[in-house]
Amino acid sequence: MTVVLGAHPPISSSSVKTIPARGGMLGTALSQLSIAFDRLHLSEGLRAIIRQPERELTVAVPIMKDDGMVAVYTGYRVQHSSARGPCKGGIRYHSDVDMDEVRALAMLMTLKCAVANLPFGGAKGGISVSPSMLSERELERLTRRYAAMISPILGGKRDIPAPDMNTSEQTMAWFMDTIAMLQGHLSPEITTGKPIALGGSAGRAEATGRGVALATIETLQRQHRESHGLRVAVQGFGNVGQYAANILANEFGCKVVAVGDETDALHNSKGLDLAGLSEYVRTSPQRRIKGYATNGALDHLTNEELLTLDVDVLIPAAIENQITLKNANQIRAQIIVEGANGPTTFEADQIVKDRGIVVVPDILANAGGVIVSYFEWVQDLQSYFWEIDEVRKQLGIVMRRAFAEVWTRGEERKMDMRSAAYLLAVERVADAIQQRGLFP
Amino acid sequence: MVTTMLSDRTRVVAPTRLVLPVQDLGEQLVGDAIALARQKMALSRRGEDLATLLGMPAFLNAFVHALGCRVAEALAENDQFVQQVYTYDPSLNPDSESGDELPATGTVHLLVQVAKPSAALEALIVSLDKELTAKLRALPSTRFAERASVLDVNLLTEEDVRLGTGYAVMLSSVFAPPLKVWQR
Repeated sequence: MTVVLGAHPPISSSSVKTIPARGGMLGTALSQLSIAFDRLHLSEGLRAIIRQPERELTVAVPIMKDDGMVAVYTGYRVQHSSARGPCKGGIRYHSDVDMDEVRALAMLMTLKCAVANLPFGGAKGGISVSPSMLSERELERLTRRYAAMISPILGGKRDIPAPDMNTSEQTMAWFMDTIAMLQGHLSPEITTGKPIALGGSAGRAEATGRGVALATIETLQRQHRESHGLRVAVQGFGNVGQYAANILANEFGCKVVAVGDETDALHNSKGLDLAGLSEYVRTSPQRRIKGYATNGALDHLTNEELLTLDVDVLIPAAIENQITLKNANQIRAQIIVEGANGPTTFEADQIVKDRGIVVVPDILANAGGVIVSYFEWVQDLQSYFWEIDEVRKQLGIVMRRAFAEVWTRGEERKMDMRSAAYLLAVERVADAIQQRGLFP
Repeated sequence: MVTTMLSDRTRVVAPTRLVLPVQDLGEQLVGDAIALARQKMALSRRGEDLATLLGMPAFLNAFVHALGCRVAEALAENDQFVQQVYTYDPSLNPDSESGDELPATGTVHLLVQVAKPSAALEALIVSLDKELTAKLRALPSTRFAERASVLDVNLLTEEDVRLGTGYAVMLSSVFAPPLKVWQR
């Protein structure tokens, strides 16, 4: 039986905790959420359920410091929605972490998993701490105590943490071990982002960059354009930008004509030597572009020049709020693929949309990471681990399917890809809530 | 057992007037940072020789962070227009499911918010960088042997912060926020 939630008395607005508006991706997500609610004509009851996290846990995490003193830190875990499956989301350590931030990021994870049609809901967690102020042993004690304190709401079929800002595969290994000690047995599916030796997945490092590359190629195919020789500029040459650039050039024949990071940006209209540049960045002391020997063959650009370069595809893969009111009218790329989270401000998004530039939104374009997290969870549950080729193949299948669904929805509803992605995500979450009905 | 509630939201360093020549200042900052980083290591490791410690990512991270905090303090003490100083990690992975992937670089990344830019501050940064680079190159680690620079300092004006231009955009970042290490 399908329950029409609108038939229930609506939850009063005063009882609904609102997720505060933030800049960048969070602000855009919240704006898009409201627009999607209206476009889908969702009942007030459904809107209230989706707006409000299902479960929030705040814990006081005491640890013994190396000097014998006790310090108490505040930790959070928010499960936004389990309507479509176990909650999924990272754990971050930063001094600015608070409940509002965690709450908003948890909601974003629900939507991101729904866009990719992964059988997950969304969650996020964190501890308000400056990790660099702690020793390695103190960090381990903090992680283990926090894991123990939130363990009642975790589980491979309930809530699955992953690394996030200032946490790593080592953090996840401590997490998994702590839960194993409490349960008396090992459950590798309790976290993702683990070391491969502990049940991690091959292909995790390249996952997001590969997803960005695939999203680029899918866009080109929809526009009946060839990838060979296509001019690409990449802002940000870290994990995501490097993989995206190299995969586009090596596997799809694109011509990456410009890349940049915060230290320098390089341009060559004939295409860059990405292998040489990547090797330089990997081995140079500062692991940055600055200092790369151009031998006079390359032009140096400013960040603004890189963003407004005459190229076919622009991939912002650095930080938030790079395409703004100031430069949106100068962007000359016909396609923007958002490798970073929230690189386009809400206002700039309207401008580039009006100018007919196709924007593949972050919620879709950089979903490769969470997709491979899903694969890790699947492999852990099966205790059967895939070769890298299988991970790449499956990532291609999921990314292409997600892209096609967003694209088709955009065509049907005559809307841009960002609006279509959010519409699809909200619709999937709402459908799941409606079909499951309300207990009791 | 002493119990204390710690707040890491803002680490405000008590002002200590630094009236040292840059050469001595550089030596003092590096020495302080090594001492602070040793304290972050497990008791059994604190007595290791410096070459061994510098090979450990945990020590290196602690050393770079401590050096950043001490440099922030030194800049603020020597320039009254310095208002706030942040450290940041440019290698933070924007993908929230993958965590940090890139190893530590050994570079001190600072965002320095100033009420007014000054040539004196810029000159201090340049000479301090030169001095610190020389001191770090002398450390028993190949990591620093070829370094031409160790400081990556970006000055932010109040207007930059208000308009969110350049590196100031990082201050409002949710996905890769910098960490405040000093404020006036």
